[in-house]
Amino acid sequence: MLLLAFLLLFGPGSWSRPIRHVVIGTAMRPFIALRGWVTARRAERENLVLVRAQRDSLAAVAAAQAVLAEENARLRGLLSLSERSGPHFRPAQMLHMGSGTAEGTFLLDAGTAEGVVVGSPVFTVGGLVGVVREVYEHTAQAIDWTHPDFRASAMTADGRVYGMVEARRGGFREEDVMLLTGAPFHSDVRPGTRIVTSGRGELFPRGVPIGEVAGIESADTGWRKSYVIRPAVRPEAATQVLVGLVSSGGVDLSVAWELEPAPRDTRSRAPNDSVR
Amino acid sequence: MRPRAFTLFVAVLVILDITLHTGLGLGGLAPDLITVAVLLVARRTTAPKVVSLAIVLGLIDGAVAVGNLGGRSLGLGVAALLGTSTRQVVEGEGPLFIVPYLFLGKWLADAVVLLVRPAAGPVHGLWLELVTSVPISAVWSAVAGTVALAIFRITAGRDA
Repeated sequence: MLLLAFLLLFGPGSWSRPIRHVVIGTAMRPFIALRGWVTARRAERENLVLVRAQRDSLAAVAAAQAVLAEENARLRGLLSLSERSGPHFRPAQMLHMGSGTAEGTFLLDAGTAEGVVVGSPVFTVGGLVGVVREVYEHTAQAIDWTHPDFRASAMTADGRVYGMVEARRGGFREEDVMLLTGAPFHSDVRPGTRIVTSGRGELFPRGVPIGEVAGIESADTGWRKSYVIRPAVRPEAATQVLVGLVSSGGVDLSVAWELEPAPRDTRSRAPNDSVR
Repeated sequence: MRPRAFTLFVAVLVILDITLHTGLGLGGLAPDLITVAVLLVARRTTAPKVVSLAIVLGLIDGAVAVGNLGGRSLGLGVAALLGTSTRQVVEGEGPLFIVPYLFLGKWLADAVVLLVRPAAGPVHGLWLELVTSVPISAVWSAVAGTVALAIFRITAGRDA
């Protein structure tokens, strides 16, 4: 029996996919439905708390309005981002699984029936969150950028420096950051520079914010440089997201984030944005 | 011992665990009752049976995660296997035994999961987890498991 666990662990993903599909569709189905219900009720309860707070005192109203405004702004932002990003994306609810083994992964309440495919990008108003790895009829499993398998081809917002972005685990989950690896050794990217998806490989749309450069990685040696990226979005804080549909690869979304579209690089294509 | 009552107790622990973790999304706030259930079963049945249970529960619990599906099964399986061998060393399940037993079993199961998980970044993060968050989670699970076992014994009778 332990051999079975070894085979599933180290074997190709296609071996474990049917098992996950069956378990999610049967044994875990009521619990996932409960998770969706709890998330929806929690949102409703937050609204109720806000209403009560408004009634109770002016101070509470002020505080509640701030939270409400934030929530409102987030939803409005998502709505306007959805409009600006065009028909290639659709809103979805992000369901975080509390299990320890599910770190760096989440579920979406949209699947093949809604046009989601394996490799669909997931992002919020803030920027890139992750990528879809498994799709079922009305749900999808995705990894966020903290997952060890996450990779995205990236560039500085002005298009001068290209590289690959991957997760760098911190001592604690809150300290997780990203690394921009494979940047040319002569490049000099200053702290605060915005990093966006480059669209190479046409998995992720071009121009989606990933984060800001926090500094150069101390372990950097050799012919290429690596930069530490302060992420634009913390996955644990995201609940409402946009998920890419079939035709989202290669779309330039710079304008949606009010960024000047960077000139297309003319070099040969880098390896695809990918998940290992 | 009442096997049917104990089976029901284990089923309740498993359902409660999945409800707390996946259904309510409590994460680290909820104890790992699946590991507790497997470790308690390991004290009462043969190695092949408990390892089979561990693999199945590991697959169910790990299915909501992308990749690393067998990791949880492997961690539970190793802990279950060692759990069965403790019967030859220690008899009975007093609190002085059961608390450290559940603590070490949970720590070991988590350690295996961490060791086979693909790493992002330096390995020192892994060791930090093994000596910080994993022991805290193990203490919480051991205490919750001991309390659950005590409640089960009260409701099912002292000989359960």
